[in-house]
Amino acid sequence: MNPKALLAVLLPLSCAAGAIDARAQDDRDYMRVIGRPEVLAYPVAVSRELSASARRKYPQIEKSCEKGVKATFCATLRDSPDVVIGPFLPKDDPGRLCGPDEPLLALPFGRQVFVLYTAPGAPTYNLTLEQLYRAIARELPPKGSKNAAESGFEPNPNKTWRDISPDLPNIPIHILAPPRRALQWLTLEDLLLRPACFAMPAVKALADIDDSLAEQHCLSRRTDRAIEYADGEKYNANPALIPQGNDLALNERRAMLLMPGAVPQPIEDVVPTPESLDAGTYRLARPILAVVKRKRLDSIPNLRTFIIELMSPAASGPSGYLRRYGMDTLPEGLLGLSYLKAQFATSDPPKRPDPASKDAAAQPSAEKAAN
Amino acid sequence: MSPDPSAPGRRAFIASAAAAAGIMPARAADSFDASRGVAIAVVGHGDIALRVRDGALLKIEQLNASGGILGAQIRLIDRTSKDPPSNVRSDAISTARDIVDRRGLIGVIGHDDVSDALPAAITYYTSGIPCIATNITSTDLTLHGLTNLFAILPDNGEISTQTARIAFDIGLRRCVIARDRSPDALEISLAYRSEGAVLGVPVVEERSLPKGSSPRDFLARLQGMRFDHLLIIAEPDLQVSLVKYASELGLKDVTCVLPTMLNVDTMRQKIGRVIPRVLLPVLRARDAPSPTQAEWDRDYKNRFGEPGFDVSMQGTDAVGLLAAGLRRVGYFDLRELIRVLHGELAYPGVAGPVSFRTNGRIYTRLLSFASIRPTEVAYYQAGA
Repeated sequence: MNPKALLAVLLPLSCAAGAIDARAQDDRDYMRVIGRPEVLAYPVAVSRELSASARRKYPQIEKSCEKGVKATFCATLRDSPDVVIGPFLPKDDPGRLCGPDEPLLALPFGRQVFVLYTAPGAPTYNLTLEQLYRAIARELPPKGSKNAAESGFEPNPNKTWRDISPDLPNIPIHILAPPRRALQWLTLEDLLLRPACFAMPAVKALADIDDSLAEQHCLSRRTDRAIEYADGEKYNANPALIPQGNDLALNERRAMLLMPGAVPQPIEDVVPTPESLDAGTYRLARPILAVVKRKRLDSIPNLRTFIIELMSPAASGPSGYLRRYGMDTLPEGLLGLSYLKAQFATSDPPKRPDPASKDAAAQPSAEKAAN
Repeated sequence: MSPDPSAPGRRAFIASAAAAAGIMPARAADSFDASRGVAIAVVGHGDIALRVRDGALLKIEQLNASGGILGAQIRLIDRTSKDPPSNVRSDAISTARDIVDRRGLIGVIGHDDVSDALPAAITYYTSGIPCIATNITSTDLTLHGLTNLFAILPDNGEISTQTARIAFDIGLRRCVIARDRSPDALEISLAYRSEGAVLGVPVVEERSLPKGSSPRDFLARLQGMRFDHLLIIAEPDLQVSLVKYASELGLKDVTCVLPTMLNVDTMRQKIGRVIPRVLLPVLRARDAPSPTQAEWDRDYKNRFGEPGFDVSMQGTDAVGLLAAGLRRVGYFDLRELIRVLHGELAYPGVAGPVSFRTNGRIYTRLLSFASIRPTEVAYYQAGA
């Protein structure tokens, strides 16, 4: 065939296809998930499970820090992720993460729990968050300092637990911990390092002047013999940390369960039990939620399937596969509720009563009714 | 005048138009005979190509040991060489013409640059052979609608976006961009600006200078400006010069961010003991490999007697996803294989999960980042 004739036939087709192709690149045929690095193992595991059992592409999984996640998820000027996975606290109101114009569905499906534990026969250390922080921090404000901006910081002087508090045993500090740069430390920064450090008056005074400098000091961890960081490769293969003698181990709760006879230590007088976790009184624990854009529930391929799988007992239940990735389970009722919401939630948001309306106070909240 | 590698040309145009019209040539299923085996070709030049070949060979041997693909043993057609030819483009085309006629060819892996991958991919296209580019990040590669062409590295825009996020995550907030005037550099810069706008990381200054400009020109009068990271988008040699010059200028609190996939060891050797921290994307965090990567490392070392390279993982994954795609198809039909790769493949690779956009570019790769300091290299893990 004459090449010119071929071109003449194919040119209109090509032009039309060019326009379609440009649009097709915008029309995703996969879903997007964003989250903080320490929780991304969960959506990755769920997507692998789903793709292994059916012909489904993987979702695009992205990561960022807390602020970055919010900014990216809520971006309106371009395509944005469909789901955010994160450790939200109830005070954050994850359902309103992106403001009133973007209806969201917030579904808790698990929690992260860290424990301090010993071998059987070791003494009971009933530590406060601050005492534990004082054992871990690389530098501390000098004793008696009221403002770290003036006094500065000194290298952590605490060699034994007695150095931290006279009530504690006179035993050298020796804590087994996850690898130095492990993702687990990101969770511990939120649950332990920041709250304990910023609660100290001297650091609080510095934070009022220079928040980022205070944070930099607060998140630094000691590198002497007081903390023994696990080897990254070995820990990835087997996360069990086995304390001996009077050693303490700081690790995920599921990893503690790998050690027979491990004795969990109370923090602030609360022992990590299912009851204290459900009551929310144990300090080294936080819930994990999936926050979904309602409008996309039925338009993005596999989004609802993904959410249902994430909330299912097979993934997040007591014997679900997400336990292998360090996640602790929620009470059955709470997970069941999330599972039902994932299945039956509609793309349309539940109507909120108009606060200006006179009847608003008298009417039951539509959202509460839907929930 | 040498042809513009990014220009599609007549062949590409015809191929694109044919692709648009749905005229995807197919290699007939009956041209495969499982008892005679199938073949995968690896092409390319230089050290990277040789390492990709080794990674591919490792996977081929593993697959053959476990029965091959759909009962067929796989043989490797090795068209790699250490030294580049005098004319990369014409060499790529002649190599492609040669290998497409080989019996039982199910895929081609490699190519080093758009200038050789694109014309070769058109030849593969006309024979219905899938081509997997293992280390090309240029967006031009997947712009022309060649349905048989796949890329298993994120494109420049995606790398730049992920780089902006990690920079934000580690607390960097004000950026200066120094770049050359290539289209790739512009694309990376725009993607960084776009992500920076979402995250709230302003670009306080952008300098783009022509080829041959001195590092002094790029970094003149920067000492007085308030910024915390310098995004350097250029050829590796210029990147090294700029990092060194930033060190000479005493920009010790500035992080030099290089949004390009480079070998950490080579880069560390080249920059020496400079003062600023250097941040660059990598395929894996070496200090905490995933269990799959640790196992691959052991196998690689047992086979080749040296630690595995990041690019070798790409070779392994390319073979693995061809095998996974054919297993999903269930018989030797390359047109169906290409459809599966586009539409439904989810392959858990060594370097990370693999699925493709409709344009053939991977979208699932979450990069790690290496932070090079004078005394150590630390890694920010991909996170999953």
